[in-house]
Amino acid sequence: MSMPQTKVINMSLTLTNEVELMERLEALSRKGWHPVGYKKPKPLKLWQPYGFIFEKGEPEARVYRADFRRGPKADIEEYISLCKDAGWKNIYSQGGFFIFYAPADQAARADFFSDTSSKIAKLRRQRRYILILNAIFIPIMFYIMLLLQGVFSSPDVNPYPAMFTAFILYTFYTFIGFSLRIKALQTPRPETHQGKVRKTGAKRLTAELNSIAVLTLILAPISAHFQLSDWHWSWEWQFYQGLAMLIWYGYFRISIAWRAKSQNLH
Amino acid sequence: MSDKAQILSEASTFILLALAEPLHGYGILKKVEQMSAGRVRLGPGTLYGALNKMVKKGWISPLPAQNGARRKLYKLTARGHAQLQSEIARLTALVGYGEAALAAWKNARKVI
Repeated sequence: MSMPQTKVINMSLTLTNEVELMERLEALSRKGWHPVGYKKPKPLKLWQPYGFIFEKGEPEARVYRADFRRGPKADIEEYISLCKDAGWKNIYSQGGFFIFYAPADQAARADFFSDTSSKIAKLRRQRRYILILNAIFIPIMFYIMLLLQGVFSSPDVNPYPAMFTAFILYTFYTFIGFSLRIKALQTPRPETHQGKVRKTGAKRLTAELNSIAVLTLILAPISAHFQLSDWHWSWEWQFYQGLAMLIWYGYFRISIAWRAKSQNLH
Repeated sequence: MSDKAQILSEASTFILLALAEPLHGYGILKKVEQMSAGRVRLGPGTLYGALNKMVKKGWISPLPAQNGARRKLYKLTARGHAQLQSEIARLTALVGYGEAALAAWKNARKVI
């Protein structure tokens, strides 16, 4: 008997990529690749592949759904066994995230969340989690920033305040994102999927470039203010900050495309 | 407590109705489906969230676990029963108003 063909694909569930990840898992199952486990990233060996372990099998139409809840271990076990009884198998449970799947025809009869209020309740749990996490994390980051003053910085060039600002802005964006999704669910429109408006192709690229422009406009004056004592606003500064952001964005997009290509998926 | 005037969601109403006898999670799903002749099919995510919420409000309570049983049984509490009664009374009144209004409307159209 030959060993089943397996592979590890770099992907992990975060607070912001959930809808995309579920669609990707569904597409892979249609091609016959089914997740059978999860390989955790090793912090000191990040170059090693981590993510879902897939096994080659028969193509299946599956529906994947993610949930988020935290609680005592006994409650979580009860929850997973309830889902299993109802025909939703658990493939991932880490850090409060859960992924379940069911055959597409069963999911069409009864979806994992069968009413809007439970979908909203899930988004609210996630939003509250972001708040709690950052209430702890931001003071720690601020303290580390104070400790590192002068280590990788000088009175003239100090990157930490800008980094800190960027982090807080990112957190804020994530938080607002959840609020918008909740709002979209409260006023349902046909083009939303789980409260998320999907953008693809040129539309998505335009949206991403727009958000870079907005971030540059906000961040450049802040970072410049902290870096130069005799700073005054100039287009030159805006231009270089924008350029830096574009390069960073390009690196990000190209690395995603390269990884997808090397895994022979898209 | 201020839970007297609360309007229940359809899922919550059906869950409370299903708990005429103690049931575990999957038992509730099946009973609700059966009671509504297949119309209401609760998803496990929705059911678990609703159960948690109603335990917190004190409308239902988990029975002490039998040895070795992994699945918790839930039973309706007195408070849950009162909540269900007020909800049914509200719905009955609503149906009454509705029927009266529709009858009056029908008569008016006949006159015209």
